Amino acid sequence: MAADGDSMDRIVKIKSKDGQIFDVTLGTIKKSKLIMTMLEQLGDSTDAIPLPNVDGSTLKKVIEWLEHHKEEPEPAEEESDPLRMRISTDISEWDKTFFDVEQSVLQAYILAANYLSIKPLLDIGCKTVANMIKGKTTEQLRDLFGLEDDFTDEERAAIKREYAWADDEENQAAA
Amino acid sequence: MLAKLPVELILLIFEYPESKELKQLARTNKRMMQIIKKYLPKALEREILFHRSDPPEWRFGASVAYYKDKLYYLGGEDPETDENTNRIDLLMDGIVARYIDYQTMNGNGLKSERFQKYEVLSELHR
Repeated sequence: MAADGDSMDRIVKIKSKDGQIFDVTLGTIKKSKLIMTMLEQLGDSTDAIPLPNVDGSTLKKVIEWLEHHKEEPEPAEEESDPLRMRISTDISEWDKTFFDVEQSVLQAYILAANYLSIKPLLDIGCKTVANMIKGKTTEQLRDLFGLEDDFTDEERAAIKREYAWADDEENQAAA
Repeated sequence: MLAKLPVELILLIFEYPESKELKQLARTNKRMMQIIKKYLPKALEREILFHRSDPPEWRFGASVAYYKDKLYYLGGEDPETDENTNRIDLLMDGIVARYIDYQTMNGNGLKSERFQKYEVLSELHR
C-alpha cells in the first residue's frame, strides 16, 4: 500500500476489543506496523480492523499519542551495539505527562504499543518504567510494583552463596 | 505491573537500568531473579571495579596502549629533562572489563583514550 501523498488522508476504521470503532487517518496510524500490515492484506476493504487485544479507552489514548507524534519521522533502525548507551531520560514533557498515569494504565499502554507494533510508543513506555526503577531499594521496588517476596530461606541463602553482592547490599539503595 | 508483563517486555525495560539496579530487582522475587539470571547473567556477576592506575610519572606526549590484556604507558617527554623518551610502563596486567579513561597529551593538546573489554557495558560509559 502506498503510504505517502494524499493516501495519508485516507480514513481507516479500527475496532477495539469492546466494540468501539475509531476513524483515524492513515497518516495518524502509519506508525503501527501491525495495522499497516493488515491494511496491505485487506486491500481496499472498508471494514473496521479488529484489534482484539486493545480496549477502547486504551486505543483512544494510543490514537491521541499517534496524532500528537504523526509528523515525527520514523526512527532509524538501531544497530545492535552492546556498548550503545541506553538513555531513559530523553522523554519529552508531553510524553512525560501522557505517561503520568496509574501503573495499570501504563501497563495497558505498553501492551498496546507492543501489540500494535508502535516502537516509539513502546520505547517511551519502557523508559518510563525504567525511570521508576532508578534509585530504589529491593523493598521499595517490591512495594512499587507489587512484587511478592516469594523466596524461601533456603533460596535466599543460596543466592547469597552464589552472589556476594546479595549479602553486601541487602538494604542499600541502587542510587 | 512489572509482575504481569511478559518476559520480552520486561527485557526491553531492563535494557535501561544499570546493573546495580537490576541486582535490586533480582532480589525482589523469584521471577525477577530467574529472568535476570537467564537473560542478563552479566548483570548479576560480582562487579570488580577497576580504578585507573596512574603511571609512575606523567609524561607530555605519552600515549596509552592495550595489548594482550596489558595496559601500557608509552613514550612522551621525560618530565625532568624534557627530552623524548621511549620508556614503557606497565599500567595494568589483566583484562580490562570496564572503561578506563586516560588523558594524554599529543601534538594537538589533550586527547582521551578509552579501553574496554567489548562485551561488557561500562557504567562509567553512561
